[in-house]
Amino acid sequence: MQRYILIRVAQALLCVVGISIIVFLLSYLSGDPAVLLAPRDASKAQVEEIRHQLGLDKPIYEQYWKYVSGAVRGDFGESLRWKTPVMKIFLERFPNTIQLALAAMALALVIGVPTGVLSAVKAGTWFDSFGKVFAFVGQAAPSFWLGTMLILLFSVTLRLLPTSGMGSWRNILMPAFALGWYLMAALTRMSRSAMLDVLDSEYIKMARIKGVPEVWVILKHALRNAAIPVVTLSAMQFVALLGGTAIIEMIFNWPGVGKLIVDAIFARDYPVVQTIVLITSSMVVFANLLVDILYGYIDPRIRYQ
Amino acid sequence: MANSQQVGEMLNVPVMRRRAIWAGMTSALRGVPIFPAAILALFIFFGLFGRLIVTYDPNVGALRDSLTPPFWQAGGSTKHLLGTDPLGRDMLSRIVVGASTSLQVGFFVVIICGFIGSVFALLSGYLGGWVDIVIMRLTDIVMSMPFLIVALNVAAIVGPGKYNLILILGLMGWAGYARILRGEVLRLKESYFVRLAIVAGCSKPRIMVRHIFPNIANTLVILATLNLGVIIIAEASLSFLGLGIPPPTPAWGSMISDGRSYLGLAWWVSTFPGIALFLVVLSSNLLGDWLRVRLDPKFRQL
Repeated sequence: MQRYILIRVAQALLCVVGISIIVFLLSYLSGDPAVLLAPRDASKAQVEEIRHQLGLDKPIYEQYWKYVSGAVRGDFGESLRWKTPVMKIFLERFPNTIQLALAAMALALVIGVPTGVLSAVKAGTWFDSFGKVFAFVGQAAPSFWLGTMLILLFSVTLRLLPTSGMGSWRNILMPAFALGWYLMAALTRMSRSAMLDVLDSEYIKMARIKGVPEVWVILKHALRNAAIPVVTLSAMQFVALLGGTAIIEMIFNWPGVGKLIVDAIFARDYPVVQTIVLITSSMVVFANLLVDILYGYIDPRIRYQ
Repeated sequence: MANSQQVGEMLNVPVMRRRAIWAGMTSALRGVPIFPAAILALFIFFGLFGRLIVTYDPNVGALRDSLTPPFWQAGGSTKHLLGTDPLGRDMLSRIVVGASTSLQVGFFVVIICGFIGSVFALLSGYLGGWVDIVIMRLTDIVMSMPFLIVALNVAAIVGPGKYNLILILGLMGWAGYARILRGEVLRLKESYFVRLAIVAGCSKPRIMVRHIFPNIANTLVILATLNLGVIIIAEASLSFLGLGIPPPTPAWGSMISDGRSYLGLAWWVSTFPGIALFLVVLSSNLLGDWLRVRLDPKFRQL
């Protein structure tokens, strides 16, 4: 087990290094920040001066090294637009995104899992058909269109919910729903399929033969075993949610990391873009690492791959 | 007892062969879900011939016709069945022509990803060793980077445009294919026919292409159909944010974005392109699902 963990951690670190190289290259190829920062009528000599000051005339591996050594210490440079450290801006916005992602996750779990479970328990009935339709529709509707339609329905037509901003539960409801929609559908499918599998197994038949009430059979025996794939899927999808926040935050003007990065991309604010891509990717890598280690504990066969 | 003509016919090899091929093809397609297939076929038709059949120019609008409602609402007319957009362009024509963009990007990207994914999977799975390690680390890296954000970033660098978009999405989307197909290759590596091929003296490339690849083709097709919807939505998302297909070419994502400022006045500008997107993705997902159940019973758990 130790060996397995060590190997996986080494792989994860290698992954992060690889990501940092790609992110750095992307930024490097994006264009010349010195030209952007200099006033329009600056002479070539002045632009060169700015370039020298920013350290952009050094060879690429030196720039990369400077970037990495700063990053490890938490210094990711300054935003070109606001002249404040990127880390500070990021930490201001990150809790908002987490809040949105958690809300989306909660909605998805609360709506998706029971639908899937009920769909499996009542397999073949109208509820099952409804559940299947719900799952398919959910995976096909693009989240940004759904968000726009929700605004159309609840804000413009019914005037029940505000279109943007942060504050009360009213503000978070639509964005969370739009963000969690895909996950809701995926969870419905996954819970249904996991539940169907479990309901067929020997120990469930045994419990029924023993005379255990059906509700107890489902909740206590079946659900626990069906939960494993559902939990893994949720954990993995949570990080995918973080990527999906970009578009939802743009639509609902939610002041989070997603909106920050899209605005930064349009404003050519490279330090911000670089940092956010690096941080979010690293989070994905470590989340996968944790899931893999957890799997190693649960299922010993995986350790010997 | 068959008569002499029937016997003669029975022995007619060319006819029998044609019949056998026809029987094989129709039985393969038996049970294909009609609605998704029909919808997808309709949109493919739009994609290929859209420009020829529309009655209005999708790029040019008459400003005095701007924001006409669809024909069933007050103020609408049958001149513009689904209404017009803020620039007076006919919605129906734009949606039909927009199909070509979405589907072209979708198909090309899926083909590129499938190709890269298969090549990597074959090399990584069959050759093993360092090749495997390097390719798997590369796959990890690509899979960890948030797809949309990196695509946005690269699109901001290289500029908008259909072929740029195809390239970007293609270079980012192959990781899932590579991983799953590698699993298949690993499984097939141990099978008898591969061992026999090795004994017979086949070179490694020959084994990979001629023996292993045809057996992973099934999974590849399934992955491709399931991935098509994801790619189409990704293209629409990029267009929605303004970094996809540049105007005035109609693209469903940018049409939805155009309509956002007019949600109160003109709900149809955002709604109809979204419905088109939804239908295409839904059909492709349903077909992919049917294909999965049909071709590979192992996959039913996904």
